[in-house]
Amino acid sequence: MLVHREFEKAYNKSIDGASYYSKKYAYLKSHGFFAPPKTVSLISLSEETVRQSTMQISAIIFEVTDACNLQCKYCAYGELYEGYDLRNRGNIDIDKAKKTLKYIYDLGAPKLRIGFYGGEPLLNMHFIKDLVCYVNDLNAGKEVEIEYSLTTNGTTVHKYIDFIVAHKFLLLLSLDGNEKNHSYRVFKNKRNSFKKVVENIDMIKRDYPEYFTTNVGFTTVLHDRNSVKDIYEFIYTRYNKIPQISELALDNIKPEKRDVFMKIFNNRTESEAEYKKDDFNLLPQVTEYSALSIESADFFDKYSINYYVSNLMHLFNSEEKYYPSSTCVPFSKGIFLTNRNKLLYCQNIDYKYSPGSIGKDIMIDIPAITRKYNYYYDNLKKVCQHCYAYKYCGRCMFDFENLDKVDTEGFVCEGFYTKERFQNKLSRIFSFLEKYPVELSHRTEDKAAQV
Amino acid sequence: MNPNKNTTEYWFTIDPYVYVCLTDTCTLLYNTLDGVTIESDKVEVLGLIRELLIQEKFGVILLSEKRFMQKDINDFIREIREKYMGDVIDVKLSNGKPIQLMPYFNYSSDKLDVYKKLNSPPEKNALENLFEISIHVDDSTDLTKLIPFLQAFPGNLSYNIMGNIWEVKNHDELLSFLDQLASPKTVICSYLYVTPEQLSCESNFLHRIIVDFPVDMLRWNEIMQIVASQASPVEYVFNISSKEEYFQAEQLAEQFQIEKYQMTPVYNGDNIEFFEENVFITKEDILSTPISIKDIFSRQAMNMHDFGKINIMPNGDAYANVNHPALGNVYKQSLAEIVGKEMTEGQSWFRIRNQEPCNGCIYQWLCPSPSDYEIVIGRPNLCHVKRDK
Repeated sequence: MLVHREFEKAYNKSIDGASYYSKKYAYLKSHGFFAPPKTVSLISLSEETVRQSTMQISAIIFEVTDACNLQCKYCAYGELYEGYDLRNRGNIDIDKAKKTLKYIYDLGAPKLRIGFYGGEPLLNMHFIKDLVCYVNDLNAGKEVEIEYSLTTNGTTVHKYIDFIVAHKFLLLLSLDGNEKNHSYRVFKNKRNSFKKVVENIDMIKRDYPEYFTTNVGFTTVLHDRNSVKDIYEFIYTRYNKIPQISELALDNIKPEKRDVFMKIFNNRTESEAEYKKDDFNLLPQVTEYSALSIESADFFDKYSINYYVSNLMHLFNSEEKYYPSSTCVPFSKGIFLTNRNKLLYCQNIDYKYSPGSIGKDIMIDIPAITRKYNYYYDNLKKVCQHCYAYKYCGRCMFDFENLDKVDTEGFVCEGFYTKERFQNKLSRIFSFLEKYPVELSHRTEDKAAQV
Repeated sequence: MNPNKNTTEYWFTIDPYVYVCLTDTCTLLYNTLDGVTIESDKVEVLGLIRELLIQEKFGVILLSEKRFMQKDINDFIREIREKYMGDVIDVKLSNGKPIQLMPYFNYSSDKLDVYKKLNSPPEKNALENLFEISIHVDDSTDLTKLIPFLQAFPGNLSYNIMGNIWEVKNHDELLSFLDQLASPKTVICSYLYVTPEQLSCESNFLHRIIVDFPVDMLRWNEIMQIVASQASPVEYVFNISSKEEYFQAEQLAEQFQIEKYQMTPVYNGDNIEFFEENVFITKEDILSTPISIKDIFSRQAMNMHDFGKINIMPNGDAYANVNHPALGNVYKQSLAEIVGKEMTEGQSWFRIRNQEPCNGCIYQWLCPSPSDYEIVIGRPNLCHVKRDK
């Protein structure tokens, strides 16, 4: 809330108690403002919640293969990391994939999203075509809306583009910027994949312009050979697209590779700040995609007076309830099936947290999943209840490097918000909004329009 | 107010706990903390508020000294400050233009599409919006089909059984199934059909007994005896269509020492005067109880009578409101499909006051959601504030 400077003095009782702002302070206080913070009541997960979530799965992503024709320096399955299954299993089992798909399809969601992920999924195009054919049979005469998506390094996309366009795939291409920026994304022979990837993207843009406009997106990894400025300027200038920008994964780094990792790592917020310092106005379109914009959007949705806009059901609750951390309810985002037949809650979670695998039957052990979650939650509550960002910290517990130690005294949450840290967060957000009020003033409508 | 004489410009803002409504001819400010209001029809004031409600202004506008000193604006701002609903701040006190996060409901009269999209799949699980199921029963109800369907429902729902449960074949199975659930359960039944068995065997159920006039006093006396001999919680609903029936209901309640009862006006096509006198609301009615920020969000985003509720008829047809078309059939579609349809295409959960004449009224979002009466009577508003055009 915007207040006069004199109000701050009234709050600190450093002005006359009969002054206007002293009276306004007393008025607000009498209506519940400035009350001591309440003890946070964090909740556990119920089996019923998991059951309902499981019954409404409407998205499935397949790890089509763990094979890849590139050897990117920073790959989460590469030389810098540990904790993943060996990448030697090859292709996904088509029968188990179909069985899982049928299970999800039969749950009856009116819209089903099917994603293909890798490795490099196009190295197992046979599977993708087979599965699409299977879905067509399954959906014959029915009205389930099917949406396909594919994340690819783009090196072989020219071979299958007709099929991809014909089935209206949402195509997410990995591109780190210009040739120098892209130079960690190399073939096995260490040759930069940039020329091939850009040649293919140019082809799609040229030959399928409408599809390119509506269905193609970019994903970019930020590192020491590119910057937010490089990325936006290359991809937006050449393709008129705003890419998703990710930092390198911070968990499961091999201890002996930490120095190498730190050399490569590039912090997004800092890189954005550098960009803005230079010539941010060159690309005002990217304002709403910046890390600060996302942080302020989260503030809008989770903390501000407008929280209810996207949480109507909470209008009925006298007390809002929160889970510890910002971990999704199991399967609420869909299901991920690995090429080793393991189930995961999404493709970003370490395989060790898999709640089961596909065998003869599909067994989702809801009590066991609930118990496991609540084991973590019960321990996390001890930390989260003291955190100023308890409503929404944006952190998934499965990203915590030390989640296995959550029941020990030494467990530390790196995302913990003290009062001071939270004040800084608010200051950062409001400064950002003050700087870009016009660009960000319609974000609620913009978000709705994207749904 | 004593602004610094050396300054020439101010930032003007309304505090975020204030509901602001603007029509072509009037503006209303409602303080959700204490219910205090300010109304103005001054042209200059309307212009000021119109500018403040431009979303790009982010809740703060620049006010020149000349404009600030304009009498109507100056009087308006004085009243705003006196009622702690906003402020003016010397621009020299800030480095740049500040912002004020205003509640979303202030920005436009109709944002329904935004509310819908942000609370429907894929953003939200459709079933999260469901909390009450009313099962209408009669002798055609087939429990062998109904109970398996109910078993797949979320566990946190409230249930109403509506109709004469004793007509249903094997009704014990339905009652014992519901009895196992921890959720609230209510049997809603006419006094004509209540039996001693019903009240005695369903201890975990609340019984809501519907009383229509004229009352069959022989039957009524029987009911009173049955209720007196049982411990089950009972409430009464008197359906009244006239003052006379109101007095009769009062008399029954007093004579039989009924504590929990409510009067529900019933429109019979011939008693609009009764409604105008007793149901239509006035400005004073609207402002007589405190209205919170949550209330205003609710009234702008959903129908508070219908939202979250589904009715299932004996043949399986599902309705969000029985006065509107069916959403599907529970024996053919999943509950998620039915709820999803209401979220995206339905006419009930999102039936709000976004039609004429309500959309031109400054009390638009302070007024309660439209009820079934509006549908049955065939008028969008039942009030004395704005007469139907």
